[in-house]
Amino acid sequence: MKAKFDREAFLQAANVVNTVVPTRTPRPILENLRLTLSEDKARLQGTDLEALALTVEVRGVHVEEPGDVLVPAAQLVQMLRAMTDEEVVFEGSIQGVSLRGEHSEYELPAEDPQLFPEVASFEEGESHQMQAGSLRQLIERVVFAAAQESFRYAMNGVLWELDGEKVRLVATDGRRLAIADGIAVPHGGHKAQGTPVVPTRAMTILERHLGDPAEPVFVRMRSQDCMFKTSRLTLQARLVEGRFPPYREVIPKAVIAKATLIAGPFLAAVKQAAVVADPERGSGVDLTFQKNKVILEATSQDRGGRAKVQLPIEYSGEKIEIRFNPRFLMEMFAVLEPDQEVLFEFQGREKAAAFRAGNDYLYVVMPMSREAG
Amino acid sequence: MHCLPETYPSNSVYKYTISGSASGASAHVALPVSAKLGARDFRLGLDSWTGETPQRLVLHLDIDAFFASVEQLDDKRLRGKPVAVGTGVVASCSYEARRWGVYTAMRLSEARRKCPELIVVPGRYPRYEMIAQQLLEVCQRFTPVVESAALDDFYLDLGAADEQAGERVGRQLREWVRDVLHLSLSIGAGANKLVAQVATHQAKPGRQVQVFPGRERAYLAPWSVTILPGVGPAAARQLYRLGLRRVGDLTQVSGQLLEGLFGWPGRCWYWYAHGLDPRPVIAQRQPHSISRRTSFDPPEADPMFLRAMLTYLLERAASWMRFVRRRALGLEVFVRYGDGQGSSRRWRVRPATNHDAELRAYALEGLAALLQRRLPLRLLGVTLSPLQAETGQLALFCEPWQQRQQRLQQCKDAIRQRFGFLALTSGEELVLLRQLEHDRDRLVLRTPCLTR
Repeated sequence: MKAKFDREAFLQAANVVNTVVPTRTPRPILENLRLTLSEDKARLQGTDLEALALTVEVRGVHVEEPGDVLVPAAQLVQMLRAMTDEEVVFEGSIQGVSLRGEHSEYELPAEDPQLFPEVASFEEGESHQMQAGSLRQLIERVVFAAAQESFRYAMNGVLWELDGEKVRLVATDGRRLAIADGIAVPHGGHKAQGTPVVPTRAMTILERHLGDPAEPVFVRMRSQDCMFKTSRLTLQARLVEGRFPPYREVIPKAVIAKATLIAGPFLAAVKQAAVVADPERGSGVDLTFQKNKVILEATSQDRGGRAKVQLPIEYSGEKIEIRFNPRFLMEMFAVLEPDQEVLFEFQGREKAAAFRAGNDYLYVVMPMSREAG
Repeated sequence: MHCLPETYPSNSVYKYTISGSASGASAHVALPVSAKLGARDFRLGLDSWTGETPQRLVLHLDIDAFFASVEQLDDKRLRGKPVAVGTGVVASCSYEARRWGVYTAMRLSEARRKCPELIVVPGRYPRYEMIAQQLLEVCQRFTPVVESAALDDFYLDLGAADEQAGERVGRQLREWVRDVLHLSLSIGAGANKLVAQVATHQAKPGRQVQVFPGRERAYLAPWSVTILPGVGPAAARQLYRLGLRRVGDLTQVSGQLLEGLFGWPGRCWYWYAHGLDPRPVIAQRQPHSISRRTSFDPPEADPMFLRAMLTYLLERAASWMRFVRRRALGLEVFVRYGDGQGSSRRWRVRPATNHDAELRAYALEGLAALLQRRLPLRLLGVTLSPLQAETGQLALFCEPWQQRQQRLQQCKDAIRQRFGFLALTSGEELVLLRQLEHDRDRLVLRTPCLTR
């Protein structure tokens, strides 16, 4: 097999696939990438066999002789990174392969591709179609709220709800909840089976490597796994097992006060106050809504610092107070456009509060109790 | 009569104010003086640095031979005699005993060899705790910043008070302790914790030593390096080999050298040797772990009794943990078998919890595993560690059974606070009440925990 690659493009593709290659595994064969050359196409594949499998098309390739081979992932990336040539020639067989530039040449061992697990391909058929730009926004708006380690529920991932032409992504860590709605067009009567929860890692990998915003992305949810396909990338991920918490029950219904915030200035004000807050020790940021302004206050218990920030807003109700972990607010407001209007909904100082950005983004946060602080 | 202040004088904790505005918002940030003290002040070498350090006055208080003195106070027959408190090791000993060469942390068998007339008493922790609490409350009338480093060991931050104020506060405290508690108090005063603590050594017994500002370095110089926090026997040996015996010797070498040899502690010793100690006095020092234990003589083999005792110890630890607003991320059960061998079992608890029932399940599982050796136990204990601060963050998805558990826990704590800890016991613990002496608050255990 033999092909001429654009080095940058080859390196980039190898880097992407390398994110799913396990570094410590009882099956060393998985530490390889599978490179398949066919007429004018090169494809890199990697999998950890447990959670993720990724296939990427390499751009800027000129195939002279098709073939199929396994190469050690870490070495391939290191070599491509070390080379300075614009173009590299890849040549070899399962006995060994070489990478040749103008002034440098590397040789590395190879393995038989028959030993590599079969990675499912995304053949035509049932799926939902989305736009890359909108999918990226949806993921960005919820993924930060997913749990790092959860015990009771399947919260280590993002819930996907596909209903007709609507798609909803939900993530929660048990203290805050993010819900983002978008559009997905079903093809061939595709439906999600059950309530698929996609692992957080799969979501972040996908988000990072989505290309042109107008490009279509195909989504397929199956009983055990899910698949995403763009023009150059196919990602397969095992779904998170278990029950997603009953999130609809915690969306605020008995709202007693509302205020309108502008994302940019509010984020800046929270950041200012958060300098002295220490939520891990029970001191969050206190928000006091008064006529046409909100006051953010924080006190550091250990070191005795204190912050007070005032922000003019549209608010005409009675004075209300609530305490939040500032990180929860900053993470949400950071994904919004600075001029986005956000509607704040208040139910009570120890009850869930909601932030709504437009009709398609809802963020519910549980406050911190003032008694414990 | 003693003229103690009713409340502390307004102290000037907030000294620096930064004001500014951005994006239509106005901000006001105040930082305390102690937050300004950081490593960056020392970067250019301490000898060349002539800047002003914000002056503060720290008092260190220590009751002389605390446990032993309390025993002598309560029991006339012990007065004037060598007394040691503790089981196994000396937790505290009277000055009469010290004359025989007995010292704290010595094994009791060795102490008895050195001083055949030594009277050993097991100690009554609740009594000591009560006295310490009284002293703490009096200290808090002078300043809100009182750190309780050990049971009878307090640091007071008097802010920018001058020496006369320090002298006056010290005298009032010593007189109060002498006349009300009938004990003897030693006080060290200085610009920081280290100087104050070293001065207390010199002040013992029953006096006050004040180190004047600017004299810290000279005052510390003649002391042995072992006086510095973190210098244990191993580090001391290494320092001796380098010819560094006195604190003053450490100023003759570079901070880089000490840091290279001993890591970060070495750098701190270098600062200490220059009379600088940036450690703030922390009013509420939060515990990193909470432990309760007891020993059995003769060794105890009845699994029913041991389970009940473990439950009791755990609930005591957990109720204290809830009082200081912490949650446990881990739990360890430890034992010493009749043959002297020790063993333990550790669990990671996720998510962090402060519920008796949840913790008890882990603890009993640990005990069951440890009892596999089929030997009676000499010692049984439980440690909750690491601890996480109770943040007050509420949960979105709270199941009914969890809310019920939470309420039950709160009721239990409220009842126990009002009517005594033993007002509520599980059926399992009845075996303890039948076999051990107790009052409304606690069982009388052979070895109560002598540390906090």
